[in-house]
Amino acid sequence: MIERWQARVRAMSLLAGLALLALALLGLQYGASTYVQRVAVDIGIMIILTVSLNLSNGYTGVFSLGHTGFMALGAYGSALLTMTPQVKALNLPDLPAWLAHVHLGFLPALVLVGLAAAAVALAVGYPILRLTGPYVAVATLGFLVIVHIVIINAQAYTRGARTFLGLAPLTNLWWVYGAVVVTIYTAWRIVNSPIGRAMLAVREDPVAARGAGVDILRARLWSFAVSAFFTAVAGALWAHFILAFSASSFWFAVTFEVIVMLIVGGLGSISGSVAATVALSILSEVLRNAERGVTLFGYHTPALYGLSQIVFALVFIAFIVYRPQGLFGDREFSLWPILARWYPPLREAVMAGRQLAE
Amino acid sequence: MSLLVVEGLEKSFAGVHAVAGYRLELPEGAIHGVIGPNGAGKTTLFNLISGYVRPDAGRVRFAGRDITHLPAEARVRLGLARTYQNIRLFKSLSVLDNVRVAAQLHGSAPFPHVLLSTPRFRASEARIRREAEELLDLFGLGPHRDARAGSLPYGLQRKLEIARALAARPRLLLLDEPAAGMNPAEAAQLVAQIRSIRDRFGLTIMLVEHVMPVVMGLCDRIQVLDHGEIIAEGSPEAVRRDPKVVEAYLGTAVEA
Repeated sequence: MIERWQARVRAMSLLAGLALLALALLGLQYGASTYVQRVAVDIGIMIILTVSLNLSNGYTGVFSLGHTGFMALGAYGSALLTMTPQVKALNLPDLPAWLAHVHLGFLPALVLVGLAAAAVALAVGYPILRLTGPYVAVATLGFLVIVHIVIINAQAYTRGARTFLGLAPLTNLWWVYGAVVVTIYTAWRIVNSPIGRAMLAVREDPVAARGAGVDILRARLWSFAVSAFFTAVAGALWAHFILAFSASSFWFAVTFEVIVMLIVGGLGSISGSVAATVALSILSEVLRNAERGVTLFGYHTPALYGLSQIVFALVFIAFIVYRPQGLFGDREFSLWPILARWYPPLREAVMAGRQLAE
Repeated sequence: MSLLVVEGLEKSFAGVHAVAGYRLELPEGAIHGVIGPNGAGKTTLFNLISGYVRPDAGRVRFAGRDITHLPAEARVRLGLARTYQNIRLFKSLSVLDNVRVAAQLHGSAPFPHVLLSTPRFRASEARIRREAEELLDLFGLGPHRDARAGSLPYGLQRKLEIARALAARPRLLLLDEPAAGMNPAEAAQLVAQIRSIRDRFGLTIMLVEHVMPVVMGLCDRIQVLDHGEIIAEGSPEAVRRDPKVVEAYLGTAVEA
């Protein structure tokens, strides 16, 4: 009884949340400056990166430092699929014929690069994911280095170390937040399913997980492939938003940024990842503006370039030292305790329902 | 018919025999004990039978099937579950989830159903939850189902480990020192509980134990290991009187 009621409330709050998101997007589209819109797009892409990395690093305990490689795959791969043959002839004259004539829509390109990244994740993960702890981190970092070198050398496809350009500006708020919703929904479903429980069991104790019948490698490959899928989608969205990038765009800076957001939010908390990404993105945006020097209450601060990165790193260190479990730990944000505090009859109803059940 | 048949099992670590020439024919429904002083090879034996360690020689047959080369997770699927000497729970998961991880072994919905939360997925989740909750209730863990496993007191953690092993629907349950750290009253209760789960689930049980009243009160047959070899075997009464057993445990009376 109480459970059915809770399920109904959950479904209603999900719909309400989606409606609120749609309203916010409408507001951003018609009422916000281009600058604010760009920040919102950036935040959405970071949310996808953080939530998908959480599946592997947070839930399964496979601490990957190589996901930026999947992001690069998504960026370059999707660009090669969506660019018109004319633009490709101009920018990438050495492209093989079959690829030079491909011209796909944005959605099929996103799905294809996601699937390609998942396939690469399975191939790379098969040998790597037998390792544990720091060895996995180092091995995945090796994957990132390989991707970087391939990008620089595969000149016909990537223009090497030079800037890659010629993409159409396909990414907008709706694409990004559509992908955010799909990512969070998928992660949520997986986490609350046998697959998710197997992933958590593997993180907690691989020996006992085997003893409960869990195939460790299979669980790790699942999480690695799904998170690679969404990381590549985020890379594709980012590419069609920033429009010009190079091999160095997919290197340690992004890797570090996403991992900071993940850890500040809490390994194993989807809502934590979202909250930390929003908060840290806004903080770093404010600081980036302050770097040029600002006038506050009549005082003018000097220009402090690099301020945002330094504060970012300090926030990270502070969390590691004082709150290593992050904002949310491995728990999820829930409306119930808040509703129950505001509206005592609800709390009593829930308690009564629990007693009845026992 | 014997549920578990082990022949000529050997395992050495760095030239030292951990288990040598071990054999066993375990009839269905039996409660079999393995005792021996520290370092006698009991835990290695369990690791060999449950598939965590590969033997150097010998064969393990379970329910008529050669499982010598199967990994642990595959053996669990066939019905061979175990507990661990140093409790191994998924500490930061809930008590319920600890059991659900094993209960989902038999029939969970494929990925598309998970993604779309189809009726089939919900039905399998309900089945998994129901089975897990029944087991928790059986061990008096029902009220703790939402607590983190690591926060339970020691005795309840032991029970949760057994509940999790049972959720895999085993035919053979290996218990590695189930009474370790328990006081005599708790140990006596454990004996009764192990018997009742044997009868209730139609199990065959093999256990390694140090607490003698538990072994003597529970087992039909006992094997005594020393330096990896079986030095005595028989009913609890016979084993207790065997001079070789007394010697292995207490040392010889006179040593030059």
